[in-house]
Amino acid sequence: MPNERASELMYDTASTLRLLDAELGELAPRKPVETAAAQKAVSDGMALAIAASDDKLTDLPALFVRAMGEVHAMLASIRNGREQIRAATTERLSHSNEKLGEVSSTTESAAIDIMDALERAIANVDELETEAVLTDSARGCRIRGDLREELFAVMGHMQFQDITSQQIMHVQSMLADMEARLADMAARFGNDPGASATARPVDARPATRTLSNPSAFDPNASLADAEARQALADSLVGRSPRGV
Amino acid sequence: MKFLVVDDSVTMRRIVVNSLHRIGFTDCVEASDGVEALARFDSSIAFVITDWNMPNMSGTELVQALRQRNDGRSVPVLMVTARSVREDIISALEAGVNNYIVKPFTPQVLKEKIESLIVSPAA
Repeated sequence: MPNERASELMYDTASTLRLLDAELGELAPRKPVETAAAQKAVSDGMALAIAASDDKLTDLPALFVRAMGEVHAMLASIRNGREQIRAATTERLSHSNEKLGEVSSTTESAAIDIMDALERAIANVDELETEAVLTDSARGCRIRGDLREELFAVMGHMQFQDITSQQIMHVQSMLADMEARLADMAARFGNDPGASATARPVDARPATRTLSNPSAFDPNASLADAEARQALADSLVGRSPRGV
Repeated sequence: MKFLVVDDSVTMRRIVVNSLHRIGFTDCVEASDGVEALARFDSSIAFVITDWNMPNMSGTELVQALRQRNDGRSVPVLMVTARSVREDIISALEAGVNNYIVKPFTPQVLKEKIESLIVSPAA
């Protein structure tokens, strides 16, 4: 189940990034048009000045109308881009972030259940040992010992949950930051007061272990190369006056 | 010997406590962050095992606060964390940590580090 959710999440994240890419791609071709419109507005302004200097005041109303039309077209284009950014921000990024939070909490819940089961299993092995200590064969004793070792090993592997949880927190904080920045950008494109309401600052998001405090996770948390990283720590501890 | 185990992850606390039980240390107190750890710390605590990244108060802040207290100045502190960048490790040692374990760890590594601090008491 967590694998399915993780796959779904990855799909959503990829979709979000594709959508963002498409939005930016759509905005890009407008640039020359807007630039041309801006140049035209400037040239109209210059024409206006020339006309004024030539006392051709009769052309002024027409020039004003043309300039206003160009400015309106530019503003409409910007507003359209703002709406597209806002839609991508509020829908896709929020959805991805919520999904990540769900994966994290589901995994934590499952990890706790597994820990419960492991502790019960170890207690059972201990009980079996006590019951059979006088009658059991050496082989039975060895099997119980091996079983206990395996159960402790599984318990040790459960550390993955803490590491992956920190990795998810890192991605969540990045998505929240991206969401806030995009919403802020969209809000700057217009005077619509509602636009800024969709922007949720990182620190104002629902209080979780993840985002309420960025120091609650390590962005570099990893399961890889644990031995090499421990060797580095040992080397530095050995050189420290307080270390041993 | 009484241990104080500090980690915001329930799973990690249980892994550490179970590992301690396995190597013979059964007297453990738990805390979910530095603030709770400071509230639970007293002179009966003989050993502190703490994570670094926690809400409210981090592991390094906890160690610094402990080193300011008369009853925490010399208690052995073992940091168990996912942070493994050289600068981080040095920073933790400068804060007052005595030994350092990188997650994920094995019970054997935990045992070795604890024994090294018990045999060689903290400065």
